[in-house]
Amino acid sequence: MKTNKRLTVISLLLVLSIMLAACGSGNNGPKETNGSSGSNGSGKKVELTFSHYYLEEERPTSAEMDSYMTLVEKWEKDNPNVKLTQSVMSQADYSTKIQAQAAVNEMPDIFFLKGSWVGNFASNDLLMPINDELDKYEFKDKFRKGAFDAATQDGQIYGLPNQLSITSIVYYNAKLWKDIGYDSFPDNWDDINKAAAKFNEKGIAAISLGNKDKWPAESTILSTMGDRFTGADWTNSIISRDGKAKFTDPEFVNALDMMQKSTAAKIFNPDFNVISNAQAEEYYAQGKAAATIDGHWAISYLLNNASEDVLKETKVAILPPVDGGKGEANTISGGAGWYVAINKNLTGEKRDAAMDFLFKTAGYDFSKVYMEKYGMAGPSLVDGVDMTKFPQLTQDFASLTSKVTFTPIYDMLMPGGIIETMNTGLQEVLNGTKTGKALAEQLQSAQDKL
Amino acid sequence: MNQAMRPSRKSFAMYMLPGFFLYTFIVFVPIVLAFYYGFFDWSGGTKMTFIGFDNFTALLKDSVFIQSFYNNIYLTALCVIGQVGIAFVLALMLHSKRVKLKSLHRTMSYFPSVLSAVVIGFIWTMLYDYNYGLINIILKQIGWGQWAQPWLNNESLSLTLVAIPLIWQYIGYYMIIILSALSAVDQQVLEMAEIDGANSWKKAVHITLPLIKNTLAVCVTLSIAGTMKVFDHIYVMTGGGPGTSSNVMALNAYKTSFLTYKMGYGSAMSIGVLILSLVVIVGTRWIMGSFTKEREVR
Repeated sequence: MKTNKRLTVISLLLVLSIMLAACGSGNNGPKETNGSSGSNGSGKKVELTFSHYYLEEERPTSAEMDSYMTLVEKWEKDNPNVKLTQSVMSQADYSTKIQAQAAVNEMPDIFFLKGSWVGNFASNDLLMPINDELDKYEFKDKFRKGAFDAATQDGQIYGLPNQLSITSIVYYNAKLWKDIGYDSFPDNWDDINKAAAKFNEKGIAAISLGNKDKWPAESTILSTMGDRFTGADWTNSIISRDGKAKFTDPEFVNALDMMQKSTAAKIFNPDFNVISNAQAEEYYAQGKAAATIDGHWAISYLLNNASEDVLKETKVAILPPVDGGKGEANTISGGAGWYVAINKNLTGEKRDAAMDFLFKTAGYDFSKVYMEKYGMAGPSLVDGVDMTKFPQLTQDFASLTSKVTFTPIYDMLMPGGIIETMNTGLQEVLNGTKTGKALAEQLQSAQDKL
Repeated sequence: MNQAMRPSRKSFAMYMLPGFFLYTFIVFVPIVLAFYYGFFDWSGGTKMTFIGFDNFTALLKDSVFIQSFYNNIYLTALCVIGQVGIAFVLALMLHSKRVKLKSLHRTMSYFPSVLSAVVIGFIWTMLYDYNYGLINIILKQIGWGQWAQPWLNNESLSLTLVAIPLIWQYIGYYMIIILSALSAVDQQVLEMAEIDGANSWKKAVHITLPLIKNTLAVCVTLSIAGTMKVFDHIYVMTGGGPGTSSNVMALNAYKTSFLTYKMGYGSAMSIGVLILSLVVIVGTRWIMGSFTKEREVR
């Protein structure tokens, strides 16, 4: 019996020691790799890891992705001494994974960075500033105004934009609107509400919305409608948290109430809160809705998936102005929201290679390919492209967006906590189970805690 | 077990070692770490500020978390009654002599349990769909078209609607467990009761139920534990929405950590989930124990 007891104790001790050993090595692991990252001998291949969300199967329907990946492939070919290991997943999975990697300080060498993450990542010292390289960049003057707003923290710029998000375009089926007596998309909300009743009688929705994932109503509608009510100064004040603007200001509450009223007037498909953004695009593409309010990404989708009849009749417009709004009428929520960024820990050859990669794939080079191949606007201005070779929809989109001013996209620039509260509450506001005022108060109390 | 066949304590310990080792690392260490992170204001990354019990006290006042806890309790009640209750009835039916093709029934009812939660979520999202969903189509066919609606957008129903797939998926699982308990019940006891004139209902309530109550207690515990930590079905079907109407604790902890970047608070929240789940499980075991004590045979 005595020996048995002793054996038990010994085996337990053994387990403990193995546990401790494993713990120790677990803690040392990442440090070792970090330490060795700069000490690549010359002649050896430089190894870089690159995380992004451009899934190969989405390439045929995403002009943005195809343009970017074309440049990545070209860069790989031009730099045979670099081994670029890509880790690709869907955008939602990517967003989760990068947060987890940030939490343990194991960021990839190069990665996509969302504007709203910059504050958090920068304060945790995970991002490499690119100010010096940017000053030397030959196409620096070509960037659109505000292209770096979302990537800047305390004067440091942490990424190069690789897309231009325009989140709030009205795509409408001119024939369907003509059938009920409108020559173009209405320029006031009363007409939209009246039209909705007529469309509903026909069994289709006036505007398709797919808000299951909670961001579309906020990103594609509220970002612009809010601006119509509040003006861009209010939004910028909220983003910079200078305390001047509050979510409880009557203008913003009015915007939320307007969203509620429009939904109550049945301008959206009844299942707006349970279908995804892609399904809403599908409703429009199949002629089950007379319009949809969506971002620039819908262009690729519609060109590839809409039926011939729908595509032929598709026109673009902007959201109508509102009564008594402080904002300008000629604005759309848009701007650079995603960037390519570099891990702070890179040094030496690896840092140089990553920096080269950044400037050869994003920024002007990307904008050029995107414009020349697809006629779409990127974060840099590209001149002298003959637009007539592109589909009519692309041309209309380009001429519409060249005439408008961009205002901040809420979910690209406001902190994650605020956006999560806004998106969740907006579902209830649209359902009519929460008042605009109640959501505004919730948002302000979250803002006060930041 | 025969004394000669019993392995020595040493081999016993050696056999346990790998399992113990794995369990420690996959379950125990993360829990301890989550508890530790709960004491910090941490947004992910290198900067962590010690804030004592602030996260835990904030949790007690967090109305969204409290609502999600109530949602969990409601789900748990539905699932225990639905999963174990229906499984018990089905098991009794399958166990009776009159049912044909027993193994086919058994396989078919176990089938949903082998599907992944994500698949189940998608299937039921399709059933609830406004335009193409089976439920709305049937309602329209039988002339109840006015009841057709985008089901998952109904805030007062959404929690019940996400409970149905959860119940449906696990009935087969509990049925198999209960069936095995039933087959261990001595047939002679039942035959004697039959001779004394007991009908099926009386046999089920007065003989079978007391004899398998320990198995049922295990099923109830498993069902509670499973439902308190439910995440994937709801994540796929509603994402906790509309609003927070179908939000549950695990989903809330995930959102807090990865959408609002409050890793410390999210960790405190997951410890809250652990403690609350344990309280609910221990509580129900205690109630079940005191309820059945008087009839204890031994």
